[in-house]
Amino acid sequence: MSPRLRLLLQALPALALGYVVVRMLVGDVGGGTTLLDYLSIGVTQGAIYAFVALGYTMVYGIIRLINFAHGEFFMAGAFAGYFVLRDAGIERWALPQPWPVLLAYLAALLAAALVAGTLALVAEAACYRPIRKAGRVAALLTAVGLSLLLQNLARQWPAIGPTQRPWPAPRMWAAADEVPSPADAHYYELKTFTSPTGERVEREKPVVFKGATMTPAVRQRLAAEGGRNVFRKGELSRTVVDRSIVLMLAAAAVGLWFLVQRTRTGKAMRAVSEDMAAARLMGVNVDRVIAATFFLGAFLAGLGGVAYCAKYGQVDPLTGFMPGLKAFIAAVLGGIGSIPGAVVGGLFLGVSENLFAAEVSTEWKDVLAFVLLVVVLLLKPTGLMGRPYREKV
Amino acid sequence: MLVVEDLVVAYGAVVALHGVSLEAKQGEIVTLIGANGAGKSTTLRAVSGMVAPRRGSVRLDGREVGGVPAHRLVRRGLAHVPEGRRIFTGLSVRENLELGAYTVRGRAEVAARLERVLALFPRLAERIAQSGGTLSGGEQQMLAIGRAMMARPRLLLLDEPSLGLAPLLVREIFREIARINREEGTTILLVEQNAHLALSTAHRGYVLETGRVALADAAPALLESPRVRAAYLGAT
Repeated sequence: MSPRLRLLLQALPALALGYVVVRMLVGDVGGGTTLLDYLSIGVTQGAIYAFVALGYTMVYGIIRLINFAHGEFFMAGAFAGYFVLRDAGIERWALPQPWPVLLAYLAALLAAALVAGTLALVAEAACYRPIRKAGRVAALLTAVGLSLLLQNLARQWPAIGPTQRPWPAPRMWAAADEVPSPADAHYYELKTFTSPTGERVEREKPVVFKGATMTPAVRQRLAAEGGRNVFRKGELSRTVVDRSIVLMLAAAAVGLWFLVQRTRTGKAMRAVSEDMAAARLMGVNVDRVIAATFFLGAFLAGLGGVAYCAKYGQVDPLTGFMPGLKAFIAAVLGGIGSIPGAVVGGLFLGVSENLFAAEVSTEWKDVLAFVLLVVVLLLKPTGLMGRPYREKV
Repeated sequence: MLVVEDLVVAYGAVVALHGVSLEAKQGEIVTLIGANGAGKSTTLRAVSGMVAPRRGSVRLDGREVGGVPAHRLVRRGLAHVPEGRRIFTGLSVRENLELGAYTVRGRAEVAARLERVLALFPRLAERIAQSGGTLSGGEQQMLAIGRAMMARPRLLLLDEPSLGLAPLLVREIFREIARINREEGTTILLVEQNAHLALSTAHRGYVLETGRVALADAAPALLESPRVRAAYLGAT
């Protein structure tokens, strides 16, 4: 392939991606059915895959292990974020301004990243380190077993349980004079009921104001309550979520690049990844570097978990399963072991899936992902960005 | 400086060293020669903590270090240039050297050491930004030694520095080894297939045979020894 053609092949997708991201940042895209909408959905979904794929690829790069429990680190992070948001009571907040939501989300993201990271540290020390010398098949089976164990532990854990839970979405409380516009049906009222057991329960009741129902009496009542009772649900809008996810991925990618290329720890990671014994001879504490890699990968997976659940609106113990598999595919597509590859592979998979869903079939889009995996493994096992495989001498 | 006593090392059921004892004094170049599989590399690996000894003792400056993991010995002044060089081919020459000073805190100190090592091996300075894998065999060996010198070791273990190099380069490398010993005062424990070259460079030598020390003497004496000449120097 001529260098010019290769440059063109690399520049075109990059430009297209830049264009989509810019349109996402300046306007409301992703809600319609145009190509741009599908592309933006693909980029957002791809960014989530990339978050998870980074951990797969980093762990693989350093100890050649496909850590199939990575999706469960993602799930653990998502639940940590869920509890922070739920216990902060984000669903009941009256929000004159978006800053409290932003703060709550930052806290949720931090909690998610730390819980996922800590879980990874424990898993590495308890499960992977003892069998590191036992060979790759043993490690792979351990990973699958750990994945199932964590899923089922979550299902049995009283605080989590097997049921699907709605993701806590903030309600934007409407001011009396702006509520309710007749065209907008997405208004809810908070009502207090007494349950059969005698408990007082707060429930949301949709109130649809249409022309006639919006009587002066209703308006007066709302004004008297200061708009405290009527809200628009889930007003953390799609555009805000999508933009945050894409920006967060960009920040994480830059941060990770800096860490790996420019810091002492990053250099040690690259050294361990190339030659563990030689790294040890340099004075590198290999166990600690491997633990740090697990932590960092799971840290990112935790962020991805919150992003994913905020986007799709629910969380359960199996939340990590499908995104985990998809991210694994993304990591292989990009070239497993390659950090830029994980980002490229994630975005590539997200966009292809959604274009496929838009043009061909929604039901078959998961099939597409796995077909892509098989095709890449058959035709170019090193992936889009992977280095050609070299036999070690 | 280094005292090894009755060292026994085994890989699973295969015993590689059957009680090796040797010593390297401050400022010496000591060489281990012997045939393939005699246990030369294993001895170095046991000294640097890459393998744990099954029995016996390794003392560095009078302190027992047998079984101490390799990464901790670097801080105690030991550096090991392993067989086959094992440079990081995907990292640049500069990054390779900086990793040699991984245990050193402080940018200024690392920069000063880098300058010193580059003065020792000017060829590396010309290749500073290239990735390690693009270097020639001789340059890779210089990089491996330079990387070890970044730790300012008091004891340097060298495993087969001549491996796979052209004779002219081998002589250059050995000149550098002697110079490091002379100018930096580094004690060197050298494993080498090329017995003649090793004994001409070293002060003292040990001959290993199937995991045991067969002979130990001053290097010039070993060079004259009929047994060494017959077995390792190709003389009749």
